[in-house]
Amino acid sequence: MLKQVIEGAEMSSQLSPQPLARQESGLSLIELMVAISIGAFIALAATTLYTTTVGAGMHVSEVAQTSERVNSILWGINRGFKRAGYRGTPTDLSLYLQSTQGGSGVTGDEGAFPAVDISTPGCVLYTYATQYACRAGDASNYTLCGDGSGNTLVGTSVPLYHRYGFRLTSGVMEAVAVIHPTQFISSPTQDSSCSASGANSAWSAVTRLADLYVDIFTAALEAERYLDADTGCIFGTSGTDCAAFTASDCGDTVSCRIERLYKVTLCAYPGDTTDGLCVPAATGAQPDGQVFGEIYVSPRNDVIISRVY
Amino acid sequence: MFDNQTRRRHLKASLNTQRGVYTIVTVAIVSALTLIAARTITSTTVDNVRLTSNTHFSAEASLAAEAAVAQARVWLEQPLNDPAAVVWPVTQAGADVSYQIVNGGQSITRSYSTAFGFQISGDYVQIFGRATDGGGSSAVISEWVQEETLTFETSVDVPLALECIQGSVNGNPDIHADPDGLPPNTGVTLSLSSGCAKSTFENLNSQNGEGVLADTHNVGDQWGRVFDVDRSDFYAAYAAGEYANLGVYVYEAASLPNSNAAPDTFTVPNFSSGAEFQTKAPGSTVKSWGTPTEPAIVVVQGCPSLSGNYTFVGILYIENTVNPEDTSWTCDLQGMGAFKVIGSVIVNGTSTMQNSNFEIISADAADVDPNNFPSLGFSGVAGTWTDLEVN
Repeated sequence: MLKQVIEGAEMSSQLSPQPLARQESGLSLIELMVAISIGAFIALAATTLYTTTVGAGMHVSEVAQTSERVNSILWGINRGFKRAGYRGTPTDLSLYLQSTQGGSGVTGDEGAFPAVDISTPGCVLYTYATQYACRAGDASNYTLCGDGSGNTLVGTSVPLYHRYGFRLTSGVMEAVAVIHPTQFISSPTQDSSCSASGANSAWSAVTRLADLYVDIFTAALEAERYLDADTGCIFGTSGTDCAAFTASDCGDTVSCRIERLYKVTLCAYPGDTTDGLCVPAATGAQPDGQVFGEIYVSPRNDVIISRVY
Repeated sequence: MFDNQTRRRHLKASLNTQRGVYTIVTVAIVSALTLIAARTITSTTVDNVRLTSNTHFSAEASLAAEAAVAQARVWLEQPLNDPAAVVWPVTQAGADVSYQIVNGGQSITRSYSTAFGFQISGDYVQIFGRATDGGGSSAVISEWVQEETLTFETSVDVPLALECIQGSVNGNPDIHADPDGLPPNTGVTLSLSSGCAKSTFENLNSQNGEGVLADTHNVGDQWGRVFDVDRSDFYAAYAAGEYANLGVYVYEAASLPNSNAAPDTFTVPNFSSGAEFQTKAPGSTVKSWGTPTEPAIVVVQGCPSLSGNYTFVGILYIENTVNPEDTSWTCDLQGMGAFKVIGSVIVNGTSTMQNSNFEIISADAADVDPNNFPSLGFSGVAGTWTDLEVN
């Protein structure tokens, strides 16, 4: 029926031009319904496509952002571990070891600037030497910046031990980068310890709860190896410290080198600030967007414990 | 059939009747919104990918710089390579390092050019390794290393070291001493214990008739003056094969191979000091232990029979088999013919050298670099690795 009407209209239109008033009489109800149906269908399809595209895109973007946030933290942690324990030139190292070695028959320790400190759960501190340009007034802050007469060697670059670290506080990752507190002549104004809080805290957030809830952050010592620092002879693969090994284990030795392997785990999810939702295992219900990262890292600077026999 | 005016009327009428135009407009608007949304999402994703890529490239460049440091260490091991000639930021080009990524069936290879240079401070060498790719990613890593030498550089300062000489010297030996600051053959050529009488030692240079200046030392056992490793550790490491192919030889005196079985061969050069062997002119081919470019360390336990055409380049160290640290032992080297040494001879005890016709050209007089003596290579110094060096 519809087809006939349309065909009839086309035919009459072709045969003889009719007055415009008759042609512009509008669409029939059926034509209108068909047009609306087609339009609605197309609009619906377009809307669906739009929402699907936007939704999928946003999801991908969220996952990518979450992944990137977690990865960037892990990358920073990895880099910190690798740099930890850098003590400068061999002369700097030698001077430091002289200050940390034990007396005759007594094992020394890592001294005032231990390379890695993971003694506080959820907190990792690294220490390594970094060049620092002395500023006005630094003679009263750091011994190395003074000329011995109270004057500051302004602009002079000196190697100062810095403290860097990451910690997890209420779902937020925080980082610290300061001159090591032991490097100060008097106490520093900012607290960079793992327990620091309040206005004096030197820690700054590197994630936002609105973006990411960091549920798990752990660092553990996975393995270690003790070697004779002079010959490379292996003392053993475990021990509380180098005192457990004597000269008879590896000949005549005066120092002990420790290689360590750490495991760092980080788990986070976006959009939910509920604690404890992370499910590291593949099985089990994981929160939407969870990112679980685990890295093994070995510092590039081994620990040296100097001792005197 | 129709005139133009009629056609225009029909066209206008046709457009007016096409109310589906609203649908088209609606679809166009929705499509535009979709495109804008997709574009936004795409650019966000691209930004994320770019951030991830930056992290990835940074890690990649770091690994490539590590490879540059590793290449530098291999380069350092080569006897003729001198780190003093490549002082950072002057660099020596290394081999390219490539990383391949397969993504969606497509293989992408990223290459980094590497270079390395050195800074020297005493016995230590700081290695700088740099990696750079065409996209601007780069990294520099530095690490201090120390050569694990077996002997001290000063071990060959004295061409002949003895506890004492028993009896008179009446052969035709010849010693070409360290020429630094002194004419050849008149420097300190001899190291003796302080309690040793020195009446006839000038005859040690009787071949050319120059005088001999004898220095004295106060420590009996010469091992600690010559070797940078404990005696027990040295023998243990040698027995364990750790010195294999390094040019280190340990023999019991009775089993010292015949001179024809010497492991090396070299052509006697024209030494810049003018020193030369009486029996081997420049250009002669010689079977030897060690060569001027790769000196050897030969340790003989017991007093060897050196008669014949023996030639040593490096260090010939002779000590007693039993209680080697006891220098009251006497080694009978008299009548040993014309053995030749470029470097130093150390007898950890008293020697009899009557009628010996040996020749010694000191390492310095023969242009032998003490740094080329056998070593265990370079080892990293803990606590000196950093990636914070300026690129």
